[in-house]
Amino acid sequence: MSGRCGGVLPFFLGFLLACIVGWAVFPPLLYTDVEQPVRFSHKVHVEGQEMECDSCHFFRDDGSYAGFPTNEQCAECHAVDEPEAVVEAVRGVVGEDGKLEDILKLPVDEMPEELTELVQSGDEADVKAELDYLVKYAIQGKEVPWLNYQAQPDNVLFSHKAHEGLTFEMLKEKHVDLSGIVDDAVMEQGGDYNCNLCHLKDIEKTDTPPAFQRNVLTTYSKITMKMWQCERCHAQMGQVNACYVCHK
Amino acid sequence: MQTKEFKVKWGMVIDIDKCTGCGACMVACQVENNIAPMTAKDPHNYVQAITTDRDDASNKLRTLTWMNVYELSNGKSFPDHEVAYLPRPCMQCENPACVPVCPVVATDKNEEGGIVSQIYPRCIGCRYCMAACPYHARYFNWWDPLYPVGMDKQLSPAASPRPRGVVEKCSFCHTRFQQAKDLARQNDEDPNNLPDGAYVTACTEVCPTGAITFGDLNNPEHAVHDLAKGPNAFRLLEKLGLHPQVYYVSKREWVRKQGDNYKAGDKH
Amino acid sequence: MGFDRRTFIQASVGVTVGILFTPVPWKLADDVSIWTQNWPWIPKLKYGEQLDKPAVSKLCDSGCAVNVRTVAGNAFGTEGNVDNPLSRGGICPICANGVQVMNSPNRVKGPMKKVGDTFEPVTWDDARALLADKLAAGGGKVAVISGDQTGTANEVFSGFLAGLGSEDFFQMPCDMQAASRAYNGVMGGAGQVGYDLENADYVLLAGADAFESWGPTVSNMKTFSATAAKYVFAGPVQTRTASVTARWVPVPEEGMAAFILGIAHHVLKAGKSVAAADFAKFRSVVMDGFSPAKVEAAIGVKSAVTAALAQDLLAASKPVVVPSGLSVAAANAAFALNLLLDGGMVSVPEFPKVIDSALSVSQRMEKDLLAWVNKGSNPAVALVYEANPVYALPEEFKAGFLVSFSSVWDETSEKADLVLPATFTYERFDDIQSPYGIAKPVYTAGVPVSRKFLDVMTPADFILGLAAKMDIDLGFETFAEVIAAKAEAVGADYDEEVGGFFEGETVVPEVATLGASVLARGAAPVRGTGAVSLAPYSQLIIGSQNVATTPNAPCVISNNQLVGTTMVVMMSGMTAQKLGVAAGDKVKLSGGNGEATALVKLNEGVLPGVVAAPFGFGHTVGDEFSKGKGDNVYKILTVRFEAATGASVWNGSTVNVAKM
Repeated sequence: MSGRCGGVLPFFLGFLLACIVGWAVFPPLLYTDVEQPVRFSHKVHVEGQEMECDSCHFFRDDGSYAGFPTNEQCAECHAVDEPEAVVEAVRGVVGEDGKLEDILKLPVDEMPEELTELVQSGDEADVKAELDYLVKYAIQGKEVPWLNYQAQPDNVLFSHKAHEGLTFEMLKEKHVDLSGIVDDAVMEQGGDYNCNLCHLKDIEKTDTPPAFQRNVLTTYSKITMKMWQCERCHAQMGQVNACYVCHK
Repeated sequence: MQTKEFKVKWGMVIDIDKCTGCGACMVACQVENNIAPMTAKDPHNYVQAITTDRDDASNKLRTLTWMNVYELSNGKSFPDHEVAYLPRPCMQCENPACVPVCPVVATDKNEEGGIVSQIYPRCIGCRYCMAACPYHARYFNWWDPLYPVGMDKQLSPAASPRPRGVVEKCSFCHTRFQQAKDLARQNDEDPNNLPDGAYVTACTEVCPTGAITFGDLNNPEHAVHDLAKGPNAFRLLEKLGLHPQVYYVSKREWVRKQGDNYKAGDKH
Repeated sequence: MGFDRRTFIQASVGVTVGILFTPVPWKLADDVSIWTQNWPWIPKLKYGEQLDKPAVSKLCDSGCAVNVRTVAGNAFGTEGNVDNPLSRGGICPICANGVQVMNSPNRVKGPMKKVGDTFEPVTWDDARALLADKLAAGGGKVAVISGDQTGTANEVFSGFLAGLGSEDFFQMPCDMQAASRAYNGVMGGAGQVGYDLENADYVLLAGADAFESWGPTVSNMKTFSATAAKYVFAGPVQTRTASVTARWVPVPEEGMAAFILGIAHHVLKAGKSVAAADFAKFRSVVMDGFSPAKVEAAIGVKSAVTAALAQDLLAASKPVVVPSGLSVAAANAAFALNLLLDGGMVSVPEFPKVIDSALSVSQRMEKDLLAWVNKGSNPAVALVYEANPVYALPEEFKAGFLVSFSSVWDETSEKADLVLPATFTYERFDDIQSPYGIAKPVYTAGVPVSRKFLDVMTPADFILGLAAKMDIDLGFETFAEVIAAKAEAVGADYDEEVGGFFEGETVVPEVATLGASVLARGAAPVRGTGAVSLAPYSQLIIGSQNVATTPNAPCVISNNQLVGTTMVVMMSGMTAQKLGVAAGDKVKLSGGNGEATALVKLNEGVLPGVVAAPFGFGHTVGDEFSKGKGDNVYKILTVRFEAATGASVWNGSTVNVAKM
């Protein structure tokens, strides 16, 4: 091998290094895991309490979609009748200058009764999650800033109502190819609900909600759908892809 | 030139003889579409000393008035003088001049209903469309939206806020169209055949004299269908052939003449 | 193989080529472009359930019945209330900006008291104690100035005032006051004058800018567009109202009473009469003093014009003449003409009071604030409710201890010794009782539709608390109870969650006299001595007497009213020539107690010899949307006292114009 042609190896090593960095090291660096503000267990509510999906995720009378439940809906079960009294009781423990959240650091039996009597869970981990919700949000009258895995920017208007009637049968009938957009397993499984086409599959069975993978540059979730994905399905379904169909 | 035909054609008929120029439509439009008030000082600008102030609202070259009310005068001397007011939204032309000139397809006219879209994240701010539009219906964002402290506590959910450097315009309150369709679907009605009044723009809704009528120009059950065909109906600069979807009505001949701005003897 | 320069270059090339086979450049380019779409300083939207909540808005003088639009419980916009006859879906340009005013940084954030030249925050309890002391020390020398024409809050204030032993309750100068003093005072009528535009077929707006700022503006506009009646506008300026009426009749402002009586002359000649005690005298006053020739000589309106208008009015089946301004004589003349025509003028019965010691609506309108101020009155304590007298009175307003109940910082708050921030109408219980001009008794009660986020209080609640502290029994503890009681007394269908509404019936107007002796002396035009007459005009978009320009209004205000920070005045070419000024010239207007700077705009829609100037500019306190914009036209008005009625008026104001 002459010195002049000996460049293959360094080139190859450099190429390999770049590939390793590019495929294995770089992608995870782009995302950071963020936990939901409250460890909401779908399992407890769906399996345990036998709630239906549309108890919380439903269409309002005007056809808009209530994605995340508000405190008002949560209060149908987790009612706090006298939030001021609970806040006061908590203040009594943490002191006037302390933060209400500090109460969560104490063992449950040191918490005021006004607070603990509101808890409905049995399991220790669930009690902790419920207390989290009660102290940080319910008694303070603050809405939970749930992280939306599928959040779209303000310039996108997605109508759940328009997609409500979309069935797996229709997709099959039109031979819609959604590879690279929807998990093959979702397409094979089918079912009555089409939510899994865009949303996290089997979220209703989770005990701990999966972390929100935030893109450090864009701040969007890793699974947020991109325009080409919407467009591909629209095109195959014979829907118009005019800008104003989805943008505002 | 080819004009794309739509089954539904959203349009407006504005009765100039009813418009008093009060400005409620312009205020409602700004509220609905998140057009920030014009503020001179930017609290986030830490180099204010070496930069110029943001523009004042009386500089009408820099304001964002998707809906703009013009004052017309018959040009006569006292006591024969007459005055009229002409509200000007985007004309949503059937054959728009702005769409073909856009180098990045940030504006198009393809959706059922015939509303000319404007996609802000896509717009590169070249302003060709503004040069092309003979109605001055398009506006360039010279400044980032800046709300005085607290005023952005709750903005309208209907329109995305635009950064500076992009062009924006009236969208016929397009989100209301989407909401009307959702409501129709919820009530098991046909979203593609909305009844008269199911979808109206913010300016139409608030106008105290009801000078603005909004609806589907193609649908005989909508009031605008007949109003647009009335004997005193006209469109602005009709001779340009852009076929606006906004019609005007006035019994006053001088107003109608100014609508096409022709000189005596011109053919039109 | 050593690691030399060549190896390094080869490896680098390898890395460069290799990276192109990974997602790195493409993903980064994509993400960076997305990142550029979401600058942190561009506001983000919030979503949730959208609801429209009925409320009352009292930014404009007559008040608007509105729906406040909310998302996830937060207000973001205001629209008209389709179900309310005051609105019928329409809204005025000030109230359309209501939520933005509510959220404005110009809101007063908590109670403040003046210490030296600055303000210091105080607690509500301290403020109450301080005011109680001042009132006790004042010994009944207390005045209330209210800018609210329609609210039951006035009952709370006037009842409290009565409890303190004072009768000095004043409304800010308004058309309603002139009408009430003419109809209830001079003519001995009962109830509030209304104009049945809905059923009228011919309407002569005698100065009333009915589609822009006069009376229940939105209701007027809705009625105008829904009916086929012929409207004629008379006044010195071709206002926005005149832009849509069938005709504009140029009449100088101070000549309006004479103009109306000039028409009455023809109507009397046609044999019309009224069963009033002084009809014979009225007839002779009009026949002798307001003949076509005399009217033409006095106000320059050709006799053919008054004759033709009289013909039209006589031919109409339900004509109505609508006066405006502070002139009691003009209102009196118009009412007399309406009674002769037996047309669309109606009497709207007052609603029952719920606080016994309070003043009735017509009693509230009796006192003349300008005359009182002019007299040099200096009460120990003045309570100013939803008004801005320091800005909107041509005369300087003095008080030993000034208390401002205002939701925003304004000139009066700045001058006040105690500022008690008011809740915005969307944050409180409030109501609108038959705004002046409406043809039927209409009551609208509004409830809070937005959470309050500042340390503010409903003024009437504060007064009720203060009254309790001072042992004055008004019969209520909270204003919510007052509104509930009022709604019940009125007969409204009321609910604490959504408010209430009532619509009643009108009665035929009945008077004891036609005010002949007043008209004999008060109807003749009186003009100042300046070079040109000053015709001030209002546009709601600029603001009202009480409310400054709202945040979204500046870009709506035309260059015919304001250029940069200089106000624009309009005059006809003939006037400009006479004054030696040209379009675009900067001029100084001097009149009354002040001066104003303005740019000249030629407009042939202004009566020659008249300069038209907009009210509402020239605020010296407030936010950047109003402060420092233009000059205050109230300060160049000349206040005089009308003969016979004694009413303080500013019609006939003149100014001298000097080129700058």
